[in-house]
Amino acid sequence: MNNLPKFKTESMITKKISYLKIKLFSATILSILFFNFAQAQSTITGTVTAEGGPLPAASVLVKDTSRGVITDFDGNFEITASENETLVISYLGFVPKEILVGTQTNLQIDLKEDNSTLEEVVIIGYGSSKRKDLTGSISSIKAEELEKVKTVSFEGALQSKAAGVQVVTSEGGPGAGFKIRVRGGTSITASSDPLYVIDGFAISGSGQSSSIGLGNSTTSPLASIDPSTIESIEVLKDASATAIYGSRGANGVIIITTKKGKKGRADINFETFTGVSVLANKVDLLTAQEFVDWRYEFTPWDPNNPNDQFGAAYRDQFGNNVDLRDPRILLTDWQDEISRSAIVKSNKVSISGGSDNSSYAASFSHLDQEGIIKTSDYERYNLNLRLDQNVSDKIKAGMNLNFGYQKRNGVVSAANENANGRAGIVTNSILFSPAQGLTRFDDAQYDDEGRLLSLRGGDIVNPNRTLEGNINKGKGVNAFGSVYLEYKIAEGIKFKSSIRGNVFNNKGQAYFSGDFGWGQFTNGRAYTSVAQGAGVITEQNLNYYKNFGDHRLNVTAVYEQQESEFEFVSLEYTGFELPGVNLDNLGSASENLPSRSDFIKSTLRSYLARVQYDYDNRFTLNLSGRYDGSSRFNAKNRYGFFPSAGVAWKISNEDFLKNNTTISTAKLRMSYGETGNNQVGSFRSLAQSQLSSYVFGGSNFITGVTVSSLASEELTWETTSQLDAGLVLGLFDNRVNLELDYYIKDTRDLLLEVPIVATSGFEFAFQNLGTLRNKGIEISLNTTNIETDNFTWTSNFNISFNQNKVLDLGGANEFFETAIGDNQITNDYIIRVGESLGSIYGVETNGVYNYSDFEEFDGLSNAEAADLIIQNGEAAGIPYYDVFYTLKAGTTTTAGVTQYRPGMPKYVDQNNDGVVNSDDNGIIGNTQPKHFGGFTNNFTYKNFDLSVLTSWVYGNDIYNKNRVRGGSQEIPFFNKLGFVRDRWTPTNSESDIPGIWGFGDGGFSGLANSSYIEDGSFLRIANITLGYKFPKELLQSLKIKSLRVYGSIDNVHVFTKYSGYDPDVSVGRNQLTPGLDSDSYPRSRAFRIGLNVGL
Amino acid sequence: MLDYNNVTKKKIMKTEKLILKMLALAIFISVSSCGEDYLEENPTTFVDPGRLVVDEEGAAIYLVGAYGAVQESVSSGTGAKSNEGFAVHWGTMATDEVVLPGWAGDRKLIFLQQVTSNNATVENIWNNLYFSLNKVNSAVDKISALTADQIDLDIRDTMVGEARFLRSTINFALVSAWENVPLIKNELADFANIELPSQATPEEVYEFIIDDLKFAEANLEAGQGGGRATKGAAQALLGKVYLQMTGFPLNQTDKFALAEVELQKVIDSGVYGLLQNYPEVFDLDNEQSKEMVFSIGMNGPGEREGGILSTFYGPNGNVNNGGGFGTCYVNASSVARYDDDDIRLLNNIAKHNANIWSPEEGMNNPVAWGNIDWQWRGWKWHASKPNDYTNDTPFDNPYIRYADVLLMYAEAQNGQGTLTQATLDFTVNALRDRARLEAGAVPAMVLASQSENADELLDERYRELIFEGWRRNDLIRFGKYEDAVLGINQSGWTTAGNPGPNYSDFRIRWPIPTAEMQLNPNLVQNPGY
Repeated sequence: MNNLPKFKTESMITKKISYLKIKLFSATILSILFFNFAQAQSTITGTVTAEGGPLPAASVLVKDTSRGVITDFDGNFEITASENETLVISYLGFVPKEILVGTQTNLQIDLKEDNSTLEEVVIIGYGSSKRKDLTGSISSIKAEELEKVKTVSFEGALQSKAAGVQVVTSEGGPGAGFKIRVRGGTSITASSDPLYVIDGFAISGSGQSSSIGLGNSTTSPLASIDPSTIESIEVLKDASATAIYGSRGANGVIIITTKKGKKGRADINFETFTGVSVLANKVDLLTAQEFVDWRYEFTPWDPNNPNDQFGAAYRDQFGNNVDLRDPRILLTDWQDEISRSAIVKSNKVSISGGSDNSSYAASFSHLDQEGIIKTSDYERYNLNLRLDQNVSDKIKAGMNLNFGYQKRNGVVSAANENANGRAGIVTNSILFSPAQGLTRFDDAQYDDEGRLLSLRGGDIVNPNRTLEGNINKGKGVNAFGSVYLEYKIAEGIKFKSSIRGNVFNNKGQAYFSGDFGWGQFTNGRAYTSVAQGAGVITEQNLNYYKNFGDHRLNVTAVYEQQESEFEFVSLEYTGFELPGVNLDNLGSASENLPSRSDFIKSTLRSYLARVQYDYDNRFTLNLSGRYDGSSRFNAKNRYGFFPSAGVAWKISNEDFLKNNTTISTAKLRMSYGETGNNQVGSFRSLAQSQLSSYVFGGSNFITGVTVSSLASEELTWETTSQLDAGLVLGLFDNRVNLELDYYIKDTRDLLLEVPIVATSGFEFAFQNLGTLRNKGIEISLNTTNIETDNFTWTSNFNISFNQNKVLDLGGANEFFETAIGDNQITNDYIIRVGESLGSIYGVETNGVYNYSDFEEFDGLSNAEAADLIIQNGEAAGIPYYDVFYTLKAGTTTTAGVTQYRPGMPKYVDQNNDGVVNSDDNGIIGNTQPKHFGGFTNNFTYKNFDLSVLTSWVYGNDIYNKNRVRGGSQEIPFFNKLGFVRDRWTPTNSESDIPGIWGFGDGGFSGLANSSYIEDGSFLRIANITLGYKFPKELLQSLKIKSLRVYGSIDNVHVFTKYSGYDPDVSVGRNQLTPGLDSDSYPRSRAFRIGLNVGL
Repeated sequence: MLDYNNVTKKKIMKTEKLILKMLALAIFISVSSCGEDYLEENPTTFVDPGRLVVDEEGAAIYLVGAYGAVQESVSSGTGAKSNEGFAVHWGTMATDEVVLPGWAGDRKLIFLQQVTSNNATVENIWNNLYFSLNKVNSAVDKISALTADQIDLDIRDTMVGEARFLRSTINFALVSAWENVPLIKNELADFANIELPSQATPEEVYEFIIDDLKFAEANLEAGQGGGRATKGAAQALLGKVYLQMTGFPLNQTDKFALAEVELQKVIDSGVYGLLQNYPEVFDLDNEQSKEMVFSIGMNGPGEREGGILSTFYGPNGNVNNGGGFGTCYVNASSVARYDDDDIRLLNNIAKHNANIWSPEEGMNNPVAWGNIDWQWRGWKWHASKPNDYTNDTPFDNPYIRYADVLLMYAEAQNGQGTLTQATLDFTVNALRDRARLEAGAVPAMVLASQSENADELLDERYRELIFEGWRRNDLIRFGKYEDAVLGINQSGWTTAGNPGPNYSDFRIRWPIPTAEMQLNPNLVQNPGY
C-alpha cells in the first residue's frame, strides 16, 4: 500500500498535465489503479450529472486519502467510505464538489460548469495552454456562450464579445460579410484582416466579392461554417500569441476549433429554430405630401405655360394643387413595398460520442434565411465530421471534415454608383417618386396600366420592377478537411504529422433586365463568374514536455509548408432576345463581351518553435520564433524571422498572497514580439506588364501590352512589433475576473503603394516604407454577481480603446482614396501622416447664405426679405430661386459659383482668403471609434435562463453617401431624405439646410462635404434570449437527456442619432474607406423560437 | 490469456509499424517538395516586358501598348477606362467653344478660370500624360535596343519612328499646357532610382519634339495609317509644332517657314484629301478616311476601348437616345461665327432634344430646333438612336485632319506675309465649298491684310475644328486667348457663370499639381499659382 504511485490529488494531476486529452487518458489509468484499493467500509453508490446529463469519467475521491474511482458510462460510481469522510467529485471544466458522506448511500451529484476561466484550456496555435499559463493576450469564446445565443454567422458570434476585436457589418443583408479588426488596422496597402485558423487550416480573411456587375457586396470567407459546430473561438491579439503565426500574424489570429466527441458520452442532439425578421427601422423620407410640396416650390405655377408637363404633374388645369387622395395620384411607400416579414429556419442534427480509444462527432445542419427585401435569401448546408482514434498506447490518429454549401439570391446593394440606372434597390426605393402625378413624362417609362416604371430614361427604376426583372444569385461549396497521425516517441515526446486542405468553388450570376435601367441600353446584360481555389498545408509537429521538480517545460517545433491556388473566369454577355432566357443560356445573347480570367498561386514555407517554461507555478516564460519564406518576395528577401517573448508572474501564488481572501488570482504579464504581413497579392516583386490595347482601322481591336510595374527585388515583409502589458485579477474566489491590457503596436516597412513623382511614369511604387501605430487599452470584466442554488447572475463587460495613427508614408505626406457610391465625388478618403486611417476628406459646410449676406436685403427684417425675394421671382416670371443677388463685400465665396442667392450652401474658408476652393479642403470626419465594447448579462433562475447582450460604438463618424443623392435638390423627379423638409425657404430662413437646388448650383462639386458626415455612435440591445430547460424528472419519463426551449430577439433596439438604416455599416471592399454607408441593405429585427433536444 | 495478450500486442505492433511507415511517407511527401523552386513565382497571367521585347513579334505587341498609352492620355478621354483626356480639358474646356454647367464638378473650375494647384482634374491629366510618356519611352528604349540578330533593323527603325511620333504627341501636350515641364527622355529603370527632375525650358522640350518627329519622318512610310503613325502624320505634326512655336511663349516667327515646308510635303504627298460631305468625316464608317492624317483609334462599347466623344458632346435627351450627358453646353455667342447655311453649324451644334427627334431630324428639320440658345449642346459625332454607348463610345479621335493641314498651311504662309488668294482657294475656300448648303451662302474668303487674314483663319479653325481639341492652342498661338475668355457671356442655368472676372495672364498655362510639387522639391511652380 505504501508503494502506491504518487497520484495524490486531482489538482496535482491537473498541474502536471496540461492537455485535456492526456488528462482524460491518465484518468482512465487512474480508475484502473484505484479500483484495486477499495476498502471494506460502507459501500456508497451515486450518479454524477452535469447539465442534467450523466457525466462519465468524473473522478470521485475520498478526501485526504488515495482512494478514488471514476464514474462509468452512465455517470454511476460505487465507492467505499466511512460516514465521516468527504467525497471530492471533480471533472475538468467543472467546479469540484465536496460532499460529506454521512448516512447517505445513494448520492445524486450535479456538477456546475466552472465559470472561472483560469483553468480553461486555450488553443494557442500549434498546441494549447492553460489560461493561467498564458503570457499573451488571448480572448476566448467557448461553446457554452455560443450555445446560449444562437447566431447565424461566425462573425455574429464574435461581435462585441471580445475586447480589442471590432466586428463591423459590411453592407448587411443575408450572408453578407463583415470587417474584423483586431486592435485596429495595421496595414495600408496590404490586408488588415486577421488570419483565420480553422482546425489548423489557415486562411487569410478578406471578404470575398459576392456580387458581380454593379454591386459591391461581400461574403465572409467563413460563411459556410455553421457557428453551432464551433467548440471555441480564440482571438490571439498580442505578439506573444501571434508570433507563432509569423508572417501572417500581424493582424491578429482567430482560431476556430470545431466540436469533437467526448469520451464515454453518446449524444444525439437536435437543434432547431425558426423565426421571423422585420424591417428594424425605415429611413426618414419626405412623405408623398412633402415631396409634392417640394415640387410646388421647385416649379411655381406658370399661367403662361399651363401645359408644361412638369408644372402640371400635381395641379389641375387652373393651377390648383391636387389633393393627394385623388385616385389618379398613385401613392406608394417604396420601403414598405420592397420589404417583407422574412422567415428564417434552421435545423441541425449532431451525434457525438466516444470510448476509451476513440471519439467521434458529426453534425448536419441546414439554414434557410429569407432577407427582408423581397427575393433575397440565403441558404446553407453544413456537414461536420470529426474522428479521433487511439490506435495504440503510442499512436493516435484522426481526421475531420467540414463541408459547406451555400446558395444566395439577392438584390444589388452596395452599388458602385447611384446614377444612370446602376443604382441598387435600396437607392431606388429611396429615390423613386412616392406620388405618381397626372402627367406622363417624355423620358419616363410606363407599364400598360400607366404605372411609372422608370424615371429620367432609366436613371432610377420602379423598385418592384427591379425585384421582378433582375437576378443576382450565387452558390458555392467550401470544404476543409484534415488528417493527422500522432506518435508518442517516448514519455513526454510526441510527434504529430498533419495534412490539411481546403477547396472552394463559387459561382455568381447576375442579370440586368433589358426592359429598364442599366440593362435597357443593351437589351439585357448578364454576368457569370466562377471562382475556385484550393490549398494544402502539411505540418510536422514535435512536442516535448517535461517536469523537473518545480520546473515545467514544454517545447514545440514545427515544420510547415503550404500552397494555395486561386482562379476565376468572368463572362459578360449582352443582347437577350428570347423572353425569360438569359443566364442559363448565355449562347442566346447577341454579344459576348471580352471575358477575363486569372490564376494565382502562392506558397509559404515555415520553421517555427516555441518554448513554454514555468517555474514553481509562479513565473512563466514563453519564447517563440518563426522563420517564414514566402513566394511573394524575391529570393534574396524571401525569408523573415518573427520572434516573441512573453513573461508572466502569477503573484497570487506568492506566499504573501496565497491566503488572501480578496485576491484569488493575480497575474502580471508582459510580452514583446514581431509579426509580419505578406498579404499583398502575388507577383508584386516582379516586373509586370498590363494589357494596353488599341484599335486600328476604326474597329480592329489589337492586343498590346505596356509596362505596369517594375521589379522590386527589395520587397519584403511588413513588420509589426507589439508591446503588451496585461493584468489578470480574480477577486472573491474568482467571482470577479478582470483582464486589462495595454498595447502599443508599430507597423514598419509598410508594404505600401507609396505615391511617387508622376514624372517617374508611375503613380505608386510598391515599397516597404512608412510606419503606422496602433495603441490602446482593453478591459474585460467577468463577474458572478449573484450565485445561489436557484438564481445566478453573471456579467461580461468589455471595452476597447484603440488609437490609430499614420506616422510616416515614406516621404509623401498624404494620398487619397475614392469610395464607391457616387460617380461624381472623388478623393473622399485621405491617408495622411499624423492622422488615423479612415479619415474622410472634403470641405466643411457652414450653413447657408442668408438675407443678411446680401446688399439687396440690407436693413430688412426676415419677413420683409421673404416678401421681397418672392416678389422678385414673380416679377421676373421665374421661380424665386432663379433670381440672384449681390453679396456684401467681404462675404466668403465659393470657387465655381458665380451667382448667389439666399439659401445656397456656404463653406468654411479654412485659409481665410475669402474664397473657398480646393485649398480649403481638409479632414471632415473620422470613422475610427473612440471606444467600443459589449456588455452581456446572463441570468438563470431554476430552469430558466436569460441573457441580454448589448454592444456599443462611440465616437466614430459615418460617411453617409446616401445623402449625396438623397439630399440633392436639383433633380425634381426623385424623392428626398427627410432632412430636406427643414430646408431653407424664404420663410424658413433660420435653417442651416440648403434650399432648393441645394448643393446643385451652390455646390463644391466633385468633393465630399461635411453634411454627409454623421455621428456613428450607437448603443444596441443586440439580443435577448430567454430559455427554459425541462426538469430532469420530466425528461426521464420522456426518455430524453435534455430539452431546452428558448425565445430570442435579435437587434432589439438601437440608440443612435444616425439617420441611415444602421450605424453598424461599412460598405465596399476597400479597406481604406471604412465607415462608408452607401446603398446598404436595411437591417432587420428578428424574433426566433428554438428547441434543443438531447437524446 | 497470455497468448491472447501476446497476439493482441503483436497485432498492435504490426499496426503501429504500418502507421509509422505511413507517417514516414507523409513526411517524405511533404518535405520532398523542398527545393527553393517551391517558393518561386511563375506567373501565367502577364509577361515581363524585358522578356517580351526580344524579337519583332514582341516589339510589335509592345508598340501597340504605346498606342494604347496615347489613347488613354492625349485623346479626349477614354470613357471605358475613366481616363480624363487632355484634348477636351485643355483644348476645349477653357475656351470660347463651350460653357460648363454648375454640376460639372471639378472641371467647371477649368472653365471658370479658377484652377488651383490642387485641382484634381488637372492633376489627373498631368499624371496620365507622364504615365503614358514612360510607357512610350519604354517602347522607344526597349525596341531601339534590339539588335540585328533579333529584328530586321529597318523594321525596328519604323517601330521606333512610330513610338517617337507618339512620344512627341505627349510632350507637345505637356509643354502646351504647363509650359515649364520636366523633360523625361527615357523609361524608369527601377524604383530604387527615381529621379526628381527639374523643369526644362520650353525650347528644350520643343527641340526634343522636333528631333523625335524628324526621326519619325525619316523612318516611316507614307500612307493613311488607319490609326498608325505614318510619314505624313509626322510631317503634319511637325508643321503644327513649328506653328505653335511662332506664338506664345516662344514667339519664334522664323518657324512659319519651317512649318510651311512640312505642311507642303503633306499636301504634295497626295495621300490625303477632303471627303465630299462634312458630316461624313465624323461618321463611324469613315473613322480612318483619307482626311485623317492621324486619328486615335477607339472602339466601343464593351471592348474597354471606347471614348467619350458622342456623350461628352451630344444633344439634350438621354444618352441611349443619342443624347449627351450634359457635361458641357456650347457657348452660344461663338456659334454666331457660323453662317446659317453652313452645314458645319448643323452638324456641330445640337439645338434639339434627342428624346424627341432622330439624329437626322436634329440636323435637317428646323422644327426640331426648339431649344433656347443656352440649351444648345455640342454635337459632332452623332450617336445613333437608340444606342448602348453610355460612356463607351466607338468614335475615333481625330488628332490631325487634312482640313487642319490646309488651314495650317494658309496660316504658315500668312505668317510670312506670302499668303495668296490661290492658297486660300485650295485651303479655306475648299472647306467652305464643302460646307455651303446652298449657292450664295458661306461666302469665299478673300485675301486681306495679314492681321485680318489671321482673324479669319482663326475663326475658320473654330468653324471647322470645333471640339477637336485644338482651340486653346490656336487662341494662344494667335494671341487671342484672353479676348476669347473675356468674351464668354452666357446666361441661363446651364452655365456655371462667366470666367472673365477670374482671368489673369498667368492662367494661360496650368499650375504644376501640388502633389507633384510636394514629392519633387526641384520643381518651380508656374507664376501666379
